[in-house]
Amino acid sequence: MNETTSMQQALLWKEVRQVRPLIVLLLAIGGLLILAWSGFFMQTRELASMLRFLPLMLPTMYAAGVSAVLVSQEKELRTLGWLTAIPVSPAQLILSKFAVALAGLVVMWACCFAAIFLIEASGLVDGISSPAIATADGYDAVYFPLHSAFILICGMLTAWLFRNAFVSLIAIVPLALLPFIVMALIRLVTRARERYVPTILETQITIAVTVLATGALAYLAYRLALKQLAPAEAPRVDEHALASLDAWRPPTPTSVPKTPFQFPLSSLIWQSLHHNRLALAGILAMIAIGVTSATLVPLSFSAALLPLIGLLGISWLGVFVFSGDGSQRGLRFLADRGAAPTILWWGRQAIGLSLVACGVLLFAALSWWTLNNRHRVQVDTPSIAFVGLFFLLIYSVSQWASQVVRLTTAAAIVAPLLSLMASGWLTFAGIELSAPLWLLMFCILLPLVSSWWSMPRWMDGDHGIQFYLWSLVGLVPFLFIPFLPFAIDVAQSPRMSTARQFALRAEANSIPRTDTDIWQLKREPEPPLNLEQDQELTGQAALALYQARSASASNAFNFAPLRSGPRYQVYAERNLLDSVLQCATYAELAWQHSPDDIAAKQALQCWISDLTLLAAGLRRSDRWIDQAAGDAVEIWLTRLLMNDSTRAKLDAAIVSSAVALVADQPGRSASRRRAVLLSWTRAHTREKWFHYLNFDASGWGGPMTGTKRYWTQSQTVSAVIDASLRLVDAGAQGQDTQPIRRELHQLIVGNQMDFVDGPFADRFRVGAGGTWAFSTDDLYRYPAMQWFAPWEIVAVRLAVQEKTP
Amino acid sequence: MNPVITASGLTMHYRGCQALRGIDLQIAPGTVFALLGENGAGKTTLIRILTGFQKPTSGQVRVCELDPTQQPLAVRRRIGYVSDAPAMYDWMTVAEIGWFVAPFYPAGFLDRYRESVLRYELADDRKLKHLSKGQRAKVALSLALAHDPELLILDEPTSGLDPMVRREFLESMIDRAASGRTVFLSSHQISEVERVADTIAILHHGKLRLLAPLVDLKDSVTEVSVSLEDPLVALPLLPGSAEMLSEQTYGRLRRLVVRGYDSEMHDLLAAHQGVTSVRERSMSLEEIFIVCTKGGLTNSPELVEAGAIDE
Repeated sequence: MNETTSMQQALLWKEVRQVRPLIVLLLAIGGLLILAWSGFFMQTRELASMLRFLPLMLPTMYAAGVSAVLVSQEKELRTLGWLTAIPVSPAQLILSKFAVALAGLVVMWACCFAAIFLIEASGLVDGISSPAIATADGYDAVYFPLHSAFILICGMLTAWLFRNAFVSLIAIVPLALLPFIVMALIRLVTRARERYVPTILETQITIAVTVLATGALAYLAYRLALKQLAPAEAPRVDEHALASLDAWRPPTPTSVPKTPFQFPLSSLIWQSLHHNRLALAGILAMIAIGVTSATLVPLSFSAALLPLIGLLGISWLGVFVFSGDGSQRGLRFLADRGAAPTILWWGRQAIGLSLVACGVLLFAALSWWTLNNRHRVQVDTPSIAFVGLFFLLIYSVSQWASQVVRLTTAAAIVAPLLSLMASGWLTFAGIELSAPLWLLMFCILLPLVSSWWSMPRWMDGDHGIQFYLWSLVGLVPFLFIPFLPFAIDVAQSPRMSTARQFALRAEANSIPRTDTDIWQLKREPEPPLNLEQDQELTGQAALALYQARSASASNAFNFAPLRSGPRYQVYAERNLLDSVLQCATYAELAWQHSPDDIAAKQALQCWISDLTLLAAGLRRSDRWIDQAAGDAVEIWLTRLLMNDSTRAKLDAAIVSSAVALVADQPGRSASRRRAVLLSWTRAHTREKWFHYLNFDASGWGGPMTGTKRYWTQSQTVSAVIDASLRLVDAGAQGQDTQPIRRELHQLIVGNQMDFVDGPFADRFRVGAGGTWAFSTDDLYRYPAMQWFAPWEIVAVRLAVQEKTP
Repeated sequence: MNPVITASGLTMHYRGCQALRGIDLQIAPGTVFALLGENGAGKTTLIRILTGFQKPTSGQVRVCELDPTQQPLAVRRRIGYVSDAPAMYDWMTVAEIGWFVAPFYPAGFLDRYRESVLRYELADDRKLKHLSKGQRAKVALSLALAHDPELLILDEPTSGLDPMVRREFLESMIDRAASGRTVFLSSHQISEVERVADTIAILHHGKLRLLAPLVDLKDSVTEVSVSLEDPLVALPLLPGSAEMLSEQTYGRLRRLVVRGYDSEMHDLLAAHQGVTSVRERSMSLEEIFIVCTKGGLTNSPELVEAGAIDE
């Protein structure tokens, strides 16, 4: 018993050691993929929801690859032969391999669920619904682990069945699709009989088929493994029968031509074509299925698997280039015979590149047919150029991976993941970093150049660190070149100079801290509606009630503390400011409608008085956004008081203090400068940005990618701060502000419209040409929009008129 | 005492190839048995059948009184086997591979393995992939010998070993045989085999051409050079006790390699009409091997002397 336990422990130890690198490799690449995705591909909800799918890929990849590691690799390296020469029970050996493979799958699923949990907990996909975990086109969450176990069993079967790891991996693909194929056939039959199978029943049937197939294939794999580990049966050779057949059989033509190829390259291409014909045929079938389904089958969850098989085929075609013959011994044979690395490289690549081209041509032909038969097939296909570049990228990265990762099994697992990451990176570079197409094409070719560059060392069987360094020569530019134009663009984006920053920070620090309290503009709670009582009110009584409830300065807003003296700095949010100005305008209109109405006049005067206090409080605020609110209130007061007859009819003291406020140009400039400086120095965090500046900067600079905006926003803001302060200085000195407003237009609006049509244009300045209409929305969106506009000149003139008898 | 290996009528047919054609052999315990044969003679096929990796097309085989086709596991417990290029797990260290294999054998395996590794001066913590070919061969030998097997089957055992270790190893094989264990080795190194083997078998095209104790073999095989007056002279048939291994004609010189040759046969040949002289020479194992596999010696000193061929 103890001996048996020790044997099992030894076998389990060995299998765990063999499978551990695969788990570590997959988790590392999966982690990188998830990190890269969460960093680069969260712009749209569709892409963001895919983040949940990524961890699910890892157990599936593991399930497909683990048998190749535990069985095919042992066959290729002949360690299985050595192992069976010691007295190991075949059943014990088979079961230990299966147990470790299954335990590894459980570990992978645990890691997968942990990753999904972390993704959910991180809040990256908050509010983004995804069918990945709950349901996926009717397949319950339980199906993913079940199908991965099925794939593992398929892998076990093919690994014991085939000698070559590559062939065994390819053979998994049709077996893995078996449950879906059965389900599709059932669906076809039932539809032919005009009967409907509910989705839930389809799910149950698929699960049942998978469970049955898992059991059946597991039994087959076990029997096959037992047979392989038992003494090999002697081939059945019936000499007499053979002799009879031979008599009728034409002489076997020799497959070797009498004359050799004229060029070494031809010989190498012949070798590449023949060294693993079964694997090559399988890869071709995968590509054909993928391309055909992508062009002819409408996309759905089930049908999406087929194009993925095609992409996997392209990736494995790349792996086939350097690992197709299962080992490097073939190349060493050629290297020992002095074959030139470049010719050998071309000999290896010629078949792969030709087949990629064939795949693209097939896609082109089928797309042409699809486009001409839209009434029969409605499939949206991408452009041929895109497909060609995508295929070439996957192939290029995969062949590089197969040169760097020497073990066929590991290369076949790693290459598709690396291709996926590379595709993601270049897509991100093309869309988000605005990398030009020619640069992306150059990057696609880089892995090919790298493998060519490393060819001499690879041929010599160089396993040292230098080989990997040479291989990385291609990887580093692949990662950094697409970033270069973006980096240059960001570096050239406008910003405040460092010297200016120092000077302004010093100025900001010298501003004395005020002890004024903060007063937040608020709407007073309205008296609760009593529907029964209100319904009984009619006429003037009802009107008075509603006016009292919503339009009165004293009732609607909490202005009372402002009346006690200038001890508050006022914070005003846009929607409340809008309400204030609307109520005041209502009071103005009510008085204009009834000039003799004393109550209306008093109400308006009350508004003027409170707005004067409000504007003064806003000017005391250290928030830039409140200066915009101050502008809005002062514009309203200036527009009202610029009319001589209006001023004459209103209380002189109230008018006088209002005019004194709006005419105080130096005070206004000082307030603006102070607020800009304080806001800039205090708005370090996102929360403080909203508190102090609160301008919607998400559109500043015009249309640009989210990534560029992320990298340039703080620079743009600093440039806007700089321009605004220069605008204050220029306006205070009576200089023309248009050049600086043009600068602000460029920084904030960008090239999406001309200056004359933009918010800083002369024709949209309040007071210009008698236009006094303005929008608080614009004031809150475009900083310094109405600074030193004609309304300020009108305001200053009002003071002069006040002093003139 | 029962033979350690018994094979009778052993045949192995592959498509288009007859690897073994009726092998009959018995190997007694306590002997060093050497199997010689050129490439493709069927040596590896025979070893695969003996170790339970392959079932023969026909015939019976027993190893340590067990049928390897039916009880391969039991056979492998009792034998030690080293192939010509053992593919061990190269990610394991020298110590790890011994620890890994130990549970499959009786107690004491690990201690003996460690002793052996120490004797070969192999570092415990070195990974196998960092060992030279010779060092790997030492590890493989240590693993095969650590359970003190009744029968040790070795395929090209000294390949890759340096001369000192080779000598030491071969001497240890003699010691094993002296202690009652049996060694079955397949080799191309005829000089080494000659030094250690008790029994020699020469396999050619799937057939055992010779199977005899080394001492008897050397004494029993004689090269006979017969000078003739006319190349067309027909020699008399030798008695049934003699086995003609080879007969070649070089002009008026005829060379025979005969097993079981005696003085009566000399007289018979010398007295035959047309025979001018008869000379005999005993042969080395290498010459016997060449005769058995190539059908004759092309550079025999007799022929050179007679001017039949260039030196």
